[in-house]
Amino acid sequence: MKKVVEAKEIKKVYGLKGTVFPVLHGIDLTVLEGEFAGIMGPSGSGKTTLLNILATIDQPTSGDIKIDGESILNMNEEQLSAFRRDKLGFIFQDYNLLDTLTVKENILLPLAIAKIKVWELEGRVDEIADKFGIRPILEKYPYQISGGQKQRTAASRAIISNPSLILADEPTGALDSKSATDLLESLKSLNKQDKATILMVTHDAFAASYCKRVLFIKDGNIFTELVKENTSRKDFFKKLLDVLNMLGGSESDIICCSKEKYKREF
Amino acid sequence: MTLFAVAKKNIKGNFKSYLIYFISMLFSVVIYYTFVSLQYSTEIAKGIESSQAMQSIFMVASVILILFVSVFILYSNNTFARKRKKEVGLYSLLGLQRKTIGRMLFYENFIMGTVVLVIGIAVGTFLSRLFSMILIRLLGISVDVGMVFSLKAVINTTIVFMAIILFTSIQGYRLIYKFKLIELFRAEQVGEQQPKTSVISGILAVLCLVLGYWFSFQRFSNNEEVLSNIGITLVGIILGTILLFSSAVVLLLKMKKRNKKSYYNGMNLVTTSNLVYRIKGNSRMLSVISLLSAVALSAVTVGVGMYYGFEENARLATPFSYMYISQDETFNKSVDNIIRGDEEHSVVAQMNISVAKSKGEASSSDILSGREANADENPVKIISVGQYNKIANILELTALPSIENEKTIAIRPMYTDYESSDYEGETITLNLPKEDITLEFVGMTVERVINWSYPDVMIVVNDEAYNKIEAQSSTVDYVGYVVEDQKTTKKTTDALAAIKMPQSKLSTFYTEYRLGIEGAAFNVFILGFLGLVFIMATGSIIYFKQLSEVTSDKPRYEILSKIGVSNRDIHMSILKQNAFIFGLPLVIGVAHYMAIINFLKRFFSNLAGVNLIQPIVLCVIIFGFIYAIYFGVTVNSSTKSVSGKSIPIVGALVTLVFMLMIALVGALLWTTPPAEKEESYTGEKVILELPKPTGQYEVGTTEIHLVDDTRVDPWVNDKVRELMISIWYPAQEESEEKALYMKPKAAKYYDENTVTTIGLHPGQIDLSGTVTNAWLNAPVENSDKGWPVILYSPGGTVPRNFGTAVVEDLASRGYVVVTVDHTYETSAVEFPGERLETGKLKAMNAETILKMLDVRVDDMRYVLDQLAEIQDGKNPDHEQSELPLGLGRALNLTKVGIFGHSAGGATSAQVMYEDDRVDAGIDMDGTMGYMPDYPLPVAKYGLNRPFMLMNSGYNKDGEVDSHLTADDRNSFWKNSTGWKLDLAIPEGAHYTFTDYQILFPQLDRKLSISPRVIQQSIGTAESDQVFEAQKNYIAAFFELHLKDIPQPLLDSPSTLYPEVEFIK
Repeated sequence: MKKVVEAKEIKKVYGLKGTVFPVLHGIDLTVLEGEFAGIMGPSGSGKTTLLNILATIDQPTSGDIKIDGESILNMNEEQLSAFRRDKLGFIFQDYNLLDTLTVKENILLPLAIAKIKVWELEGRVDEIADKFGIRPILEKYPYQISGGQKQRTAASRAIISNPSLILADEPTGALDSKSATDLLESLKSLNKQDKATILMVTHDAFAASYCKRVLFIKDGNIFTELVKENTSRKDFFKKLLDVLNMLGGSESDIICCSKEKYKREF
Repeated sequence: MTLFAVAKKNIKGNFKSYLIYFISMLFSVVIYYTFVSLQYSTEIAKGIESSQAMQSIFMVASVILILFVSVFILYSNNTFARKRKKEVGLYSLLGLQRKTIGRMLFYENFIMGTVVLVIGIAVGTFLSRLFSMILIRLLGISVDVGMVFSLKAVINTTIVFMAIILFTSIQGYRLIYKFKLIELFRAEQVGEQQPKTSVISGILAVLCLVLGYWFSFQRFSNNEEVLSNIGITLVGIILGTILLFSSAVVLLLKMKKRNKKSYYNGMNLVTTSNLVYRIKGNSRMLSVISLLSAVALSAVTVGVGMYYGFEENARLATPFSYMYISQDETFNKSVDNIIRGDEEHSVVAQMNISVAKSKGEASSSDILSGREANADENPVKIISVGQYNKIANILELTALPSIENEKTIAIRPMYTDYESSDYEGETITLNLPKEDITLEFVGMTVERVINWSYPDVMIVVNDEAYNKIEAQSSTVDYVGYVVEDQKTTKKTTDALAAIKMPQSKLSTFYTEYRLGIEGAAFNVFILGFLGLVFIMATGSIIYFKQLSEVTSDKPRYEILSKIGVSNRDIHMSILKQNAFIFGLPLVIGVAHYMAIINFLKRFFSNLAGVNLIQPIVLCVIIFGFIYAIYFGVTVNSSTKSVSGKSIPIVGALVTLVFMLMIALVGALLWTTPPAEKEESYTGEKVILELPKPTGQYEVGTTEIHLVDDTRVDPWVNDKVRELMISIWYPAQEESEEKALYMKPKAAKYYDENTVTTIGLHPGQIDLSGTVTNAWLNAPVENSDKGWPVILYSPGGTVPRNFGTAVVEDLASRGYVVVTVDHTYETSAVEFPGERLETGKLKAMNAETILKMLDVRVDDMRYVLDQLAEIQDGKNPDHEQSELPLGLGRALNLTKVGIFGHSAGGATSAQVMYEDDRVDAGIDMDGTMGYMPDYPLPVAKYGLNRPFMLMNSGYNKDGEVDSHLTADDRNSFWKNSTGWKLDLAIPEGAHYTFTDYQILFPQLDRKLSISPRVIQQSIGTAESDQVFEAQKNYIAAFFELHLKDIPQPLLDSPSTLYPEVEFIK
């Protein structure tokens, strides 16, 4: 199967001169086409840095990354922008919608920037809006809609250009449980039906349980990897919790809470 | 750490966010300080001859500047405060007391204000030198201006800005009290909402603008129409602009949004939606900026237009550098020698031009008025088209087309704005000895080909007609020279003036050019300066606003960058948004400006007939340049703040435009002819001579310094009223010396200030060396009953000295004449001990003039009281200087007359109305009150004792000035029951009734004075003759009424004085 992401020996060091602060110690990561992969880890483990590097927003100190077969490290700013526009889709924790644009305009923004014809572009918006159930709010502005609707708008925007890879950074972080479940279900069906490749960063085991494979990062190294295969999501969730317990650290309390929070939904 | 230290640290730490505010304040201080230090610059005051007018213009301008600067600072302070709300909220959250935070903010603002003030004054010191140089170049004078550092300016600036800084600091202090904590935190999040608009208000906007513009193009004929037109134009434009930005522009943008094809195309989506999102918050700013730009542009254009128009008028009035009427060969030869001897101004062309002169009648008095017909035996000048075109060719003017028989082309009279259509169809008939020739006007040209002279009626006919006319009329042969660099021909002009003969009517371009260049240059400087400040301030406001917006937009651009928008596209979007924000008010401001200037052009008489296209184009280009710089800087700073990079080409362009601007200013300074080094006048000073008194007695004179302890001075308020008077009387014998015409300090003042208003230079006239015919402090001639007493009050701001000729004549005929200066109204009065008190009048409005007349009446009555004291043997002189022997005995205060010129004439009438000690009086050309609304009581109720009116010239409708045509004197005449007489000297002018009548011709014989100045001051009649007439009629009046000697001269018009008309 085709490798969408192929990262080797990624190192990232922050700081200048005397005070050096290593974040990533040399991570190898491969995501195959059609995969729904998750990255978990406690705060400060480097998971967001890794995602930013894969998203071409941040540059690694060393290492090599190929996305969709193209090496992104040798590209200039112009090429990177075009690359992000054509190959990547983003979903962020704080939605990152433009408050000056309507929901519809936010969704079609990547296509407009890519200068896609108007008729084609409007068709795409309708199609995706249906998929995420946000058709009724297309003409509204971000400040007029709920968090869940915002995040579904962001997700719609992420996939409208049929990207090779969808990157999601704590997409459920700011959502209530109902909205979070809706969004995760949507991502799941996106992965299943449209064969979309998704890489999601989260510290929430419930969200991670939707993934087919979850990587654990601790202190800048890959700690372990769990593959769902044929286990049920409930079992996979338990396994994830076990690993997290093993990892220990500050995040156990959050996990407990989320365990309570999501209990009813299995 | 003290709070003060925290505040200091805060400023250092936050310097970047403070920077914008800092710069805007700095800008204000620099501009204001520069301006004020120019105002106080003694060098410039010295260089500018009419420095008093300059002071008041500067004053008005600096008030406008203060207002503007305060608004500007408050605006930027508000923007800045909004940015800091969150920080203030955080302090509060951390548990700092409100009072402490308030005090900290107060200190911060205060420290920064003080730093700005100091730096501003330092920068201003350098800048003011630059501006002084510009002003001096414009004035065409040369003064060495060192670094201008004036303590007065520093103090003035400090006071003004300390007040403003204190105010903003207090505002800062109050910030924390004004808002709830939650509001402080949300300060930056209060997003602008998508504005709602209606099509109706959009349409209304367009309607308002159309209405405003339409009225600005309407003609107006009277004051009411002017007012209503201004009103409608202003309201229309202001309202239209506000509506335009709040609705029409939004509608337009929304329409743009609806066009999906372009809206969904690339970054248009972001650019347009950003503009719509911000437009509501920006609309007020954009309206204000459009209006300000229009005002700034108009101000600059009016200034430049007047300067330009003034130069143009000088060129039109004197197409030849030198021109005179050909005389005998020796004279012509010597003129030629002088002109050709001037190597710096080599002769480009010399021409002999013959012009026929004829009597005539026109179908309209606009073409040939009665006044013009009376001014010259043959008032109409005729030139052939062949001759005209030959000259036009040399002067590089447009040639005239050929003219049919019985047709003619007019040359537009100077200082009018007649158009071709006003003349077309009208006719002029030339009354020649053998026949009358009637010619029909078929056109008009503004270009005259001989230098201006009054009467200014000149027509062009075809060569055949000209030959016919020439054969039976007198012709005049003009000789004209064109030389290089004619603006600096001072020396040659002076040399020519020294040899000129009156009949040669020598006129030079230089004389015409110098006259009034100061006013024009000054206007252009002040208006230009204010305009520049306005433009820069509007540019700065946009800059600040855009920068603060882009800072809050930053996250938005980060999102865009994440989803794959390249920096280049983001920069382009910022550029486009700025282009919109800068471009829109520019376009609308320029449109408004076109309408306003169209109105102003007809409003200011100085702009009449001036082709404004050149100044308009110049102003718009400079304006565009300045805006382009602001635009570039704003785009650059915005992109830098978003992505840390700037668009290199924009930076380069800004530099280029900036260089171009500097080059332009440099070129402007370079091409203005450098002022010749103004060595003070070294030629022979003209000594003025007063005519010999005609009465039988020698004349004596003395000065008395009066101090009225009972009256607070109404003009200065902080001391008692002081007056200087002169007493002129029949003298028993000569004394050791004759009195000076003017005391030395006063003479110096008038030499430096007044002489220049007629286009002469200080030092050309020996004012301080001029003597009167009166013996200083000579003993008074005895008389049994004493001499009748006559009081004299001079014209408004005119010193008493300028009435000396008539006064001496009266004294020689056996009167004691007392002349009075009205301190602080009179331009300058010299008191004992070389103390000079100059005029303190502010604007010449109804209030001032009525107050002036009030004060004058009080002055005159007080003087009369003091004369009674002298009669009683007392000495009212403040210094107790000895009075002339026998003065007290010589006064007969039972026979008192009064007369005066202009305001002094009105004073005379009103004194008689209020004080029955005065038996008879004369008003020489004085309006009794401030017409039409404020006639003096004497004009309303008249007098029951003898009074004579004397008038000169014509009113603006071309009628002889008299009680028949002037409302105030008409009412006076009707209500007066005493002996009365109204005399008019139509060919005289207002200053006929002063010494100017005899002194100006003396100057004209030796110096180069513009013929226009003479004509406007004393008219066109033969000057000695008019003086003779005036002095004899005045004497006759007092002989009749104060000495009871019958005067047949007053019964009917006299053949001796045909210039004087009896108006019944």
